[in-house]
Amino acid sequence: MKQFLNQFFESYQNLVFVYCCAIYTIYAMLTLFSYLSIVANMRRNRIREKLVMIQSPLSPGISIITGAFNEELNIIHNVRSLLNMNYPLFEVIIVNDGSTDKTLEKLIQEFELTEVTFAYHYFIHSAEVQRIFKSENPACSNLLVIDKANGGCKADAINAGINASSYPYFLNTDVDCILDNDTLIQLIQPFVDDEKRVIATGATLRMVNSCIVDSGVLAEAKVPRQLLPAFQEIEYIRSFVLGKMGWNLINGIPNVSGGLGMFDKEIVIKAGGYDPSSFGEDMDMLMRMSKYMLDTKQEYAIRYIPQSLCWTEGPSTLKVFKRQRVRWGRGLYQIFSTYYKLMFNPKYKMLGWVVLPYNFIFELCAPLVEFLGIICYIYLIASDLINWPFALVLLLFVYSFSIFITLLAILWDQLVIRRYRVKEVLKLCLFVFIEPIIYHPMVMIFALMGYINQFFKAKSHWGHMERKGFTQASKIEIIS
Amino acid sequence: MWLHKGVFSSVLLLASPYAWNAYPVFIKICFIISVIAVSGIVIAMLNIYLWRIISKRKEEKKKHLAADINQLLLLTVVMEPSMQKDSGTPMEKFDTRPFLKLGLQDKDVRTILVSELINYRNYFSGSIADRVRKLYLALSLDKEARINLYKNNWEVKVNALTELFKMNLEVDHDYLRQLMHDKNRYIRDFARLSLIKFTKGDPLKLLREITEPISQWESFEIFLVFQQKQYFTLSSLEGLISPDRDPSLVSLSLKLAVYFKDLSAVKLIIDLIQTPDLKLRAEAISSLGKLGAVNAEAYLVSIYKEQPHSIQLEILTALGRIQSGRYLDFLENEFISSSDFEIKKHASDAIIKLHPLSEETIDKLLSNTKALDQRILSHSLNPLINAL
Repeated sequence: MKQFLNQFFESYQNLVFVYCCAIYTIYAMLTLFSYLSIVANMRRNRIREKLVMIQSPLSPGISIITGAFNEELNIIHNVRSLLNMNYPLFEVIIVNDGSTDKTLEKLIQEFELTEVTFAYHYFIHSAEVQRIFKSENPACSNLLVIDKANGGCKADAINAGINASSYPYFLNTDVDCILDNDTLIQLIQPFVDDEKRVIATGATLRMVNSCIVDSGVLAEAKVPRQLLPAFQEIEYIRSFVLGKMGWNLINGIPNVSGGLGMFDKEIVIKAGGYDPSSFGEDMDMLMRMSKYMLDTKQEYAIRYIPQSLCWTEGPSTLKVFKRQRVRWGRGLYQIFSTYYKLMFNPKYKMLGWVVLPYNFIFELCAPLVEFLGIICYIYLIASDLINWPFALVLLLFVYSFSIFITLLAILWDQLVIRRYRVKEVLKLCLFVFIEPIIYHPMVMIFALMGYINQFFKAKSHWGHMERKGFTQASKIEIIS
Repeated sequence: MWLHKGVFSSVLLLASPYAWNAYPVFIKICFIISVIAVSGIVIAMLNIYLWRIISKRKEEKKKHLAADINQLLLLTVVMEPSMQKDSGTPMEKFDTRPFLKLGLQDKDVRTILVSELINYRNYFSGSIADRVRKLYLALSLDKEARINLYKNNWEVKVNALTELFKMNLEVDHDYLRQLMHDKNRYIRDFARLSLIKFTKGDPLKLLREITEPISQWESFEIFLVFQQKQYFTLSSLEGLISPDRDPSLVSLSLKLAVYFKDLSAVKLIIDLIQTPDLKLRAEAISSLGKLGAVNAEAYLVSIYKEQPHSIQLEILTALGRIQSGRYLDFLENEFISSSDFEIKKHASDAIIKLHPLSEETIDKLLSNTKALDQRILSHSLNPLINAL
């Protein structure tokens, strides 16, 4: 038995080494790709003047759709901030997803809402829509509020918003997100300027946790003070600036974040809308949209831009963070149990040959490979079979490479956005050194818990993000 | 204890140069990559720091410079001409000395000045915009832009084209025609845009010369040029509104036909409806509606039944927009008899648009219909919902 275990772990070591080298080679390529993508984006932004979109009577209309469940703390300021977007033609649709607090009452009072008879049609599934409100105040004539039965998830609320929307594109965001004023102009640009038909666009998300927010507008950007949100900030920069921008160059983006994404409504509806039973509804939606396009033999593109346009409150307690990551883990597992047939299917081109296999091997399997690696490491140490000099070299290799890649992501990010003060950026860089030791193992364990829950079909609910809320009377720092 | 001993001994071993030759290749590779990565970490950190410090200084310098330039521009081009007169400077001449003192040979200064001048031209019109242009010429800023037009770097070329375009300065038309075939799409875009803007004769002639698809963004820019262009007559859109042309160009031509209320294009648009491209067909029908093409109504109604769902919706909307009221019965019938939600909704919207011609029909429908039909009618009638 011992001999078998020794042999097994010996072979496993080699496998992990190859796996590690493969993933680092891909990361190195993505780093290069993302740089090229960012430079191209910056060039295009210098050439394409946003004033054209503002002045043009042909600019397409956009519906901003956001679900709200017990958001009484922030709802008013955030809706005001959405209504002040810099774009010539848009509407704001707030879907009150069966809130049990005073979310709806506050909206009615603040925006002078009145119930209207609305010809609502269920083009895509959503829980029952009870009432629809419009503002009597001409200044808020582009605000529509839907009051519906709680659907238990964001997907259901967004579906309801899509059904009531008037424009060909919609922005899916969270009501607690602080959006840049130019979000619509920036995100619609790829739709109107790309050579292919763009079906979805996204941009970088960041943590608002320690930022200074004034009346729903970001007054000063600051790196989160607490460890968990700070680690998430680093993770987001790496994932968006380096990962998504890298995949953008080869049109291989697998997912547009649920926090901020703009979509082609026609394709979303034809693909069946968001799936309320999915734990990773954003990735699931994009998979179905891509599948629809490929099934109907239409060329398409999914684009990302490196600008940070959305500032969201990240979980600051381990309990909420765990719940979020377990759900994401379940979602990823669910995606592959649904779409595994697309893998290596020639009909699905890039999606079938690159996007899905990469995500399967290096996203879904990574926590499992890592976990087994740790078991293997412990076994080898306990059996005194470890070659310490080699182990140290390998550890240094893994650690230094991951730090290097993350720092490059921050450097690329600084090329685009310089909202943080120098001191803040350096603080963020210091967090990078401890992130692989403290944060990464947590993410791995929670992802595995998600897989197990999904495998045994454990009951789960979305849970509500416990918000600290933005006190808006004056510039007050939000310390989560 | 054993862990501590292991780590300690391995550090010693790693430090020993004699052990290096005995290491397997993969360990050597990992070691080398680690050294590169550690050096990379130091370089990346330094870069982040230095990049930020340098860019912060640059930004501060630019901010001050922009403020100074802005102040000068306010005094030179926005200030009341009468005040200028008092100062003894002729209205059409500028005291360029304060600008020259800024050091226009410095690339940053020139860039900021030009960008401020472009901003002024974007936000002011009439005599102020004209004075901005004259100041640009008085400072001979156009010279560098004209030199840059012939540089190899495509970005420099595009910037020069944009700058001259914004300053309303013509570029040699033959050269622009040459650029229309450049391999870079942005150069082609701006060359076309400049030609359309500065061509004295028929600007549509240039649209006819475009053979490749244009992006929506470019069509927005071309449309804006047409909107702002003065003293020109739009010639016939024949040859442009045709199924043989690229759909992106046909779409732009349809928008131009609507904007210029070109009723002579109605026949061409009706012919276009036979195109197999459903998106283009829908756009053609929508254009007929926006043009108020009464003579197209009968044709639209005659083809209605054989059209796919999305086109039927466009026909209903067009009938509402045309507002002749001749097909009110048809709309009413569609509203009552169809079981499709969207058909009902579009028919209802069209009926409401025909008000006051449809007043009687609306009253009748409101009193005779129930449930969903009532709801749809109330929706269409509500000014709050349709305030968008």
